Order: sequence, then C-alpha cells, then structure tokens
Amino acid sequence: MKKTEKIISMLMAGVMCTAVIGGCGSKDEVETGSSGSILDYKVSDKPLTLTYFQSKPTDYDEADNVFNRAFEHTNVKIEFDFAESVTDKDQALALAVSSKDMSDIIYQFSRDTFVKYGKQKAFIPLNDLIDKCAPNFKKYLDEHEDVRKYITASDGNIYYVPNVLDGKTASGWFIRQDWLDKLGMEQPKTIAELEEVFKAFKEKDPNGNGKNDEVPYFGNGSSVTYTLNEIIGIFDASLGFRHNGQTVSFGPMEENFKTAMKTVADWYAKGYIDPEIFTRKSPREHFLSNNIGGCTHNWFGSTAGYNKMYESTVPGIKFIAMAPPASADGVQRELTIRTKNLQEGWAISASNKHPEETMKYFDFFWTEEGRRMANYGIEGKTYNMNGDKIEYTDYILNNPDHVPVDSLRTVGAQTNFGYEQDWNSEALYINKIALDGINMYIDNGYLKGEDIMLTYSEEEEKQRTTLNAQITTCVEEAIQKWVLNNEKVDDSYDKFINDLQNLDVQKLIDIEQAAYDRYLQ
Amino acid sequence: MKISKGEKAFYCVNGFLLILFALLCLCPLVYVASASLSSAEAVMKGEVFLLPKGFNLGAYKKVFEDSKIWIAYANTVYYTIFGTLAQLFITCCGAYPLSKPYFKGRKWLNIFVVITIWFSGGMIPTYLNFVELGLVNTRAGLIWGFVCQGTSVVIMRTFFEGLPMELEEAAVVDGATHVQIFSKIYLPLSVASFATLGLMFAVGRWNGYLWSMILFKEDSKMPLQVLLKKLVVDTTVGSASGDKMTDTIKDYSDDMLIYATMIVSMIPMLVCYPFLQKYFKKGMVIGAVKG
Amino acid sequence: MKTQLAAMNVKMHGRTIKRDLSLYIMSVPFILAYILFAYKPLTGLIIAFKEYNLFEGTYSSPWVGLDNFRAFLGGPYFSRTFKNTLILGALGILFGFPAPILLALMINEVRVKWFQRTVQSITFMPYFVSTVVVAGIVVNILSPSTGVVNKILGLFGAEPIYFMTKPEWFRTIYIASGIWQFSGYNAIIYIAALSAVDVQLYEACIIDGGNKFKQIIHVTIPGILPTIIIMFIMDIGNIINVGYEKIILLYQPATYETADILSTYMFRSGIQDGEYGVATAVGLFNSAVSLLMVTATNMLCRKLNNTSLW
Repeated sequence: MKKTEKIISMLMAGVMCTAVIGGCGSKDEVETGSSGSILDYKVSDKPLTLTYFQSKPTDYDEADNVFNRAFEHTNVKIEFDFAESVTDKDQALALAVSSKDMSDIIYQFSRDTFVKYGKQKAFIPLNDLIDKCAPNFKKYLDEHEDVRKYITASDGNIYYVPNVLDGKTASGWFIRQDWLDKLGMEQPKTIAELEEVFKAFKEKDPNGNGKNDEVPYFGNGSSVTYTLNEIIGIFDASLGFRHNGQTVSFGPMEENFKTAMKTVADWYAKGYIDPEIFTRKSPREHFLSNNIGGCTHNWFGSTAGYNKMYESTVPGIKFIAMAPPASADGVQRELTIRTKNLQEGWAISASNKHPEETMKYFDFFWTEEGRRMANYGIEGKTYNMNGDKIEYTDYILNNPDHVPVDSLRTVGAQTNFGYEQDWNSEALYINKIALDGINMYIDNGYLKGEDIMLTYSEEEEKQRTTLNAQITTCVEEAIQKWVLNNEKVDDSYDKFINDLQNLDVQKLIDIEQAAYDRYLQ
Repeated sequence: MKISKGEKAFYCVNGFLLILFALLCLCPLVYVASASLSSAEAVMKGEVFLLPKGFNLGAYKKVFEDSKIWIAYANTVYYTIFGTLAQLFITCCGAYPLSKPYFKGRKWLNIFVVITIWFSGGMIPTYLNFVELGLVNTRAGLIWGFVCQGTSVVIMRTFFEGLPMELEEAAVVDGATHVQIFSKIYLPLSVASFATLGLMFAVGRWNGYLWSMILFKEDSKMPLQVLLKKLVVDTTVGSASGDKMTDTIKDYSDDMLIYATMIVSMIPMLVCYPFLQKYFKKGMVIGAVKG
Repeated sequence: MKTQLAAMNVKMHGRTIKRDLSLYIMSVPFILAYILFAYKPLTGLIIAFKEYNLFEGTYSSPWVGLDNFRAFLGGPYFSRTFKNTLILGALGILFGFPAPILLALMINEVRVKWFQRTVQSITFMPYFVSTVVVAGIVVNILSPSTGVVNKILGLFGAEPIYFMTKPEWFRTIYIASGIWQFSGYNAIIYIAALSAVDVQLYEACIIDGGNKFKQIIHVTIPGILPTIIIMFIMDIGNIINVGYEKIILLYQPATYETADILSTYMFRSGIQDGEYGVATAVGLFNSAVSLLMVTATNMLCRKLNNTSLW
C-alpha cells in the first residue's frame, strides 16, 4: 500500500517537475518580468521582493548569482536584510522577534530555535502551504519520512524548510605513513598493534632528529567530550547515548567505556598521547609543522590538506587515512558519521505578507534545476556540463582568491538556505588523499555510527536541558581526571556510577528511551 | 632638597619593582605585536619570542583588505568623541549638584543613581526601550543611550567634594549662578578628574561592540570593533567546521589574525594616552586657591 | 562648616534661591537621561517572574511565580558553584583591590618625570588585551612543555606541572591574571586623586621629621582615603558578579571543583541563551545580593569614616 502511494507520488512529482508548476496562486501565462527571464516556475505575476534575514555571502557577486538566476525563473527577488558585520545571529533574531519587526524570510541554525519561535507564533506553520504550494519539497518529504518526522515540532507543525547535508563520513584515522615505512611497520589492524605503533613512534625517533620529541597521538583541540569521542570509538565506546535496536543505554555506563578509559589513561601515562591534549590549540598545525606528531583522528578533508601545506618544510610528509583498528571483538569501527544535520533552514516569519508565494519560491530549490543551482552554482560560470557529468570551471578549481567551497559561495551556491546538498558537489573538488580515505571507509563498511534523529516533547526537552547540564558536568570531570591519571579508573568508577545515579541519570535514559520508542514506531 | 640615604634606597627599590612590573606588562604585548608580524610557521613552531621572525604582513593585509574598515574607523572615532563628551556632560550635570551638601533631595538622588549601578533591565527590555524611543539604527541612540553610568557619577562627585569650599563662596558673593561657578571655577580645576573619567569613557566607547551590533542595521554605521569581531569569529568558526576548510596555505594563522586586530584596535588609544597624562599634574588645585 | 553655610544662606537670601534654582536646572538633563535610559528598561525585570514569550511581549507572557529562581537555586551543583563564586569574588577584592592602590602609590613616589609617565603608560596597556588573548597567553606560559614558568621551575629541578588541570592552582591563575590585566587601568583613578593631595601637608610632615613611610601613611593615604572607600564599597557590590568569559576560557572539567561558578554552570546548561526569564532572575538575584552587601558596607564606612555612597 505504502509502496504504491510512493510510486504514485513519485510519478506525480516527475510530471510536475517537467511541466510548468501550477498549484496555487498565479496560474497565468508565462510573461517576461525582466530581460532574460524564463519564468518557467513563476511564483508571482509582478516581480516580488522578499526580505531575507541573512547577510550576504563573503565577496558576493552582486551581478551574477544564484538568487538573481532564481529570480529569472520565479519572479521573486531576495533582498539580504542583515548587516554583514553582525556575528551573533541568535541574539539578532531574538531582538527582531521581540520588536515584532521581522524580515519576510528567516534563516536559523537550530531546530530548537524554529520550534521555540514557531510555538510563540513568530513563524507560520508550513504544513498546509507545503501541501498546496510545494510539490517538489513535498515529494522529498514523502520519500524521506525520517526528515519529515524530525522537522515536525511536537505540536505537529513544520516551521522550516531545512538545509539537508549530504555525505557519509565525518572523521577518520590519519597516520604518518612515511614514519611507518621508515620503521618498517604496517598500518595497525588492531588496538594492540596500534599500541605497538605508538610505542615505536615514541621510542624509535621516526623523525630522525635525535631527540625524543615525538608525540604518537594528538587530539583535535576541541572540548573534552569531542576530543575523547574521537579516540574511544575504536573501543566501541561512546560518551553519548547508544541505541541498540530496541533499548537505549548511556555510553559512560557501559563496560566498553571503562576499558577504553583505562587504555587511554595508560597511553597518556606512557606518553603516547599529547600531554597537553586538553589545552592544545590548533594541534594539527603544531604537530605536523614541527614534524613531531604521528597519528590523529579528525575530519578527512581538512586533515588531508596539511600534506600540501607542509610538503616543503616537512620533506616526505605522508599523512594519510588508515582503517580504524579493530577492537577486541575483531570489528573495525568508525563511530563518527556525517548526518543530514537538518538543524538549519529557512522559515516564513509572521510579518510576511506573501506566505504562499514564499513557499512556492522555497520549492524552486527542490526542483532538479533549483537543486543543481544550489549545489553547483551557475552553468557556464562555475560549472559546465560534459555529457551528463558536471565539471567545475577554473573559477572554482583554480581560483587564486578562494578555496573551492568559498568560490562557490561567492555566487550564492552552498550558502545558507533550504536545499538538499549533493555530496558529489564536494567530491568533485576535494583533495585526493581525503577522497581515498573517505571511499575506503565507505567501501569497507567501517561506518558504524548511528544515523537516527530523535525528537522530544516540550516537557522532555526542559528536563533534558537541566539533567544534561548536571550529568555532563559529572562525566567530563571524571573522564578528565582519569585520563590525566589524577584518579585511577578502577578506584573511582563505581563512585562515578553512583554519582550518576544520584543525579537521576535514569530519568534521562527514560526520556531517551521514550523518544526512541516513538522513533521506532 | 637633600635626599637622605634611606630615601635613596626607597627610590631605588621602588623604581626596581616598578620596572619589574612594567616588564611583566610589556612582554606579552611585545609578543603579541611580534607574532602578528611574523611568518605563520614561526609562530606555530613557537620560535617567536620578543622580535618578529620571518617578517610578514599577511594578517594585517587580511584586516585591511576590507574596504569598509576605514569607514568603520571613522565611525569609531566619531562615537568615541561624541559619546565621551555626552557622557561627561550628563555625569557633570549629576555629580556637581550631588556634591553640594545643601542640595535638597541629595540623599534620594544619590540612591537613585546607586541603584542603577546594580540593577539593569537586561538586553531585551533595553532594546525595546530603544525601539520605543525611535533610536534604533541611529547614531544618536548609541551616543546618548549609554550615558548613564552610576559608578562614574559617584567618582566625579567624590572628586568635586574634595575641592575646597572657599572657591565657591567667593563666587557666590559675586552673584554667580551655578552654571557660571561650574564652568569658570570647577571645570579648570578638575582637569585631572575629567581626564581620568574621560579616558575611561573613551576606552569603553572605543572597545564597545555589542550594542552597536544590536542597534545598527547598516554596515555603514558600524564601528571598527564590530568588523574586527566578525573577522575573528569568522576565522575561528570557519576552521572549526572541519571539511569546509581545505587545501589552502594562508600566510597567517588564526591566532595571528586575532593579534593583528588587537594591535590595530589599540594603537590609536595608546597614541592618545600620553597626551592625556600631562593633566595628571600635581598641585593644580592648591595653586588656584592660593592665587 | 554647616553653621557657616547656613549663615551664608541667611545673609544672601534673595540670591540663594536664584543660585539653587540654577543647581536644580543643571540636574534636569541628568535626571531625564537616567529616567529614559536607566529606569525605563528596569520595568523589564518583571520577566524574572514570567515565562517570557518574545513574540507576545512582557505583558502578555504568563506569570510563573518563582519558577525561574528555582531553576538555578535548586540543582545538585548549586552549593558548589555558589561557594566558588563567592570565594573568587572575595579573593578578587582581597588581592585585586589593593593592587592598583599600591601601584598608584609607587608611581606617585617616582621623582623622574619621564620614568613615571612611561611606567604609567606601560602598566595601562594590558587593559586593551582582549580576554581571549589573555587566556591564550596564560595557557601558553603555563604549558608544561613549552611554558616559561615550567622552564624556570625546571632550573630548580622541579617536575613540570600541568597547571591548567590542577584545581588547586585555578584561583591563583585567575586572580593573578586579573591583577595583571586591570591594575594599571584601575590605578589611574587613584593617580588622579593623588594629584589633588596638598603639597603643603607633605612639607609639614617633613618638618615634623616624618620619613618616606610616615609621609605615605600620614599624608598620602588619608588624602586619597575617600576615593579608596568609595571604590571599595562599589567593589564589594561586585563580589557576586564574577564574569564567566575568562573562566570559560581557562577552566577544564578537572578544575571544576574550584573553577565552576554560578554563571559558568548556567552557561553550560544553555540557560544563558534564550532563557530570558531565568537569565533575568539570575541578574535580579545578583543585584539584590550586591545591594545588600553594599548597604552593609556603606553603613559601616559611614560610621567609621563618614564617607559613603549615599
């Protein structure tokens, strides 16, 4: 039944895609609004300008950009209504809402914000508008029930059209292959082998400067939780919630977590881990430029980039991705993944006088043409078609002023608005070392992270906020003391569990379980 | 005047301790300046100490690349000068009457001021107040909206109270009004306190960015600090988003950019400071009374 | 003094009214500014007792009684964070308050003009260093591997200490960096006050055979005492208002037991952004505590020295 529905809706959408989209409001003949307009997706008879609560992209090309092209198709113009130099956007929105002086369209950065202000009636609910005016976006939601579920607030309303990210991997393991080669070692396949490599890096002077200054593993220079999550994934341990098909468990209370903490603390004591891991700023720059760091776990794209950056000063540097070492059960795991995110998006404010037209305009970026524009920019300027393959121009690939993604942003592509990202648009310009790593992780099925998006009711959300603050404080304090060997894991782990229970961790687990049950339904 | 041995020792120790503290204050700043002028690699490797290594203006180039920065500089100077003057004016209007023991309602007005030191309405009510007064997106809003600073009224009042009573009595006999007394007698005698508070106001205005960011809707009205803040936030956020930053070799690092923006924003204040210093002269009050 | 003044008032009866009138006229712009820009927004404090709905505004938002206060006064970490707040605030006064006075006195005793000015300008400069950079510098010089402090300790054969993760070091680091950053700036008020001390008093003291220390104790300090007292009363009010920006940059979970204060904990629980009702409640609580402490100190000072805020 469901399947037939899906097929029908897909067929319908397909027809709509190729034909001129009618549906709501203006069904008039195509007429020219401005020179060069196509108006194959006309939204309004007269040219309509909507203000947009968002600042212009950096080095924005005012003359030729995605939004001007979209105007030619839709007859709707976007006017950026936000000073470029303002950095605190949450605050700016709060002030705009409180003074009831809002732009027509609002871009925001978290689902919570949309839900909060939506329930306060500052944003209009989009459910009916989507059914009526946005066939393409509706089709996407029909095909992606998980997205629809996630963007729907607990009052049943959808308040925003999300910016959907694409891609599978987030972080991966990187190692100095040139050091391994020099020491005659293989890439470590298990945690035990990883420890041997660390030992060799520490003791056998792989950088050959005669000094014992090598640091086998360095962190990512971020918060305690984030830094440790990078390394404990190979133990099948996590600092967050684990969803095991039916039940929910809290990572730090699992046996694996205890093992991971013991090992990491041991490595720290032996000097295998950057002694200043918790206060190091820009660790990759520090350890790679000084030729003293051996291994890390971090984002593929940026980490691979350091090879080129330091090739002249660190001769022979070969910092490449390696498979995650297998834990005791023999499974190679990578627990970080890239999700669809769905936090950001655009919404229609209560001050907007043209909600239907706005929704139709939103829908344009969910058509094939609109989506290509959003991802790849402008044909002839940023990309060319070679058969049915897209190829970036030199404006993107060899732009002296910008890295590829920033070049795309100068024409408005890949900037902040609601569209579905296409991983291929990134794969086409990404560094080869990174791409090899990403493909290795995907092809070998290392990615074991959970891609589930839970939603909570207002009451649950409130309790979660309070409980989370307390429990995170307790967890972070404990793990840092263990890693720094201020306390022994074996001595204080039981007390730690006891503390968690006193802080009512069970309540937090129950909330998570309830949300998970709803999700599984 | 002869200086005794004990005094000599006192001056020596005193001078030595001051030099020590001054060096302590100076070293980090010299480091910041040198680092902002060095090559990114030297900074990263920790090779920069007190002198720049591998001289490089990349970070400054990035700061001044933005054509808006000169307008922002001009805006800052404008807001600082007029904001400081407005604030001094209002502060005097309160501090002078409050320093008079015979001013009726003095006690209540004092409490009226002191309450504002610890109680404030918070950001949203303050912003809505600007909306109601029609001062959003106006330069006047930024200049006049922040003239109330209870602390400085109290300090100024204390300064005025310290001036000898006889000064006023003579003028009163001549039938002068308080506006005349204030401008002819108090003003010239209070240069040091005006310099002090003026400096504090000016520094506050110069460094302030939060409310200009909130009140102004146009980039053409923004002061320097808002622009610099954006530069710093953008770089740090950009590098935090992982995969988005790729493959570029910058000739400056994020830290260097922060250092450079700091230097750019503090130099004008440092240049002005010595000129204000000469007003901290000793014995001006006494001289006037005697004369 | 008072009788003298009264006598004067009687003597020039006609002129007094005119004179005082000008005094009241003078205070009008001042009172106006305070009503418009300081008191009008104070009406917003009622959101501390409401579940604030931004879009509907202050008046239409529902009342919630003391819920917002419960949100931060309850909770398992309240006593620890409150204690830490008070300790940091009190230590700030104990060490941070005398530092600029001492500096001003020392600068005042310099007889070489250019040296005096140079020292004053240099010690003023750290004020311009942003908190982010101060924190960065602190982390750098205290680094166990490359930091200057540990290198000096190393000369004495001590093991390097990872200061930033040691709870027992946090308060020292926080207070010392504060003194470094603000002493020079705070000293300028005292320097200005010192410039008004009567030179004749020194001469009298010297004739009485007073040495340098006697001069400082009997002339200089009494000369600036009113300023010191006023500044002290106001600082007392700030004991509870310990800012969270620098702490967030300096603390680590391992140092929470001494470093985690009310506002940092609130910051981590995400209450700072968006929960305007709770944020206002925190502000109101702080203000009330401040006012209480200030009133007490003020009364004490008025009894002891006849100098007071009001």
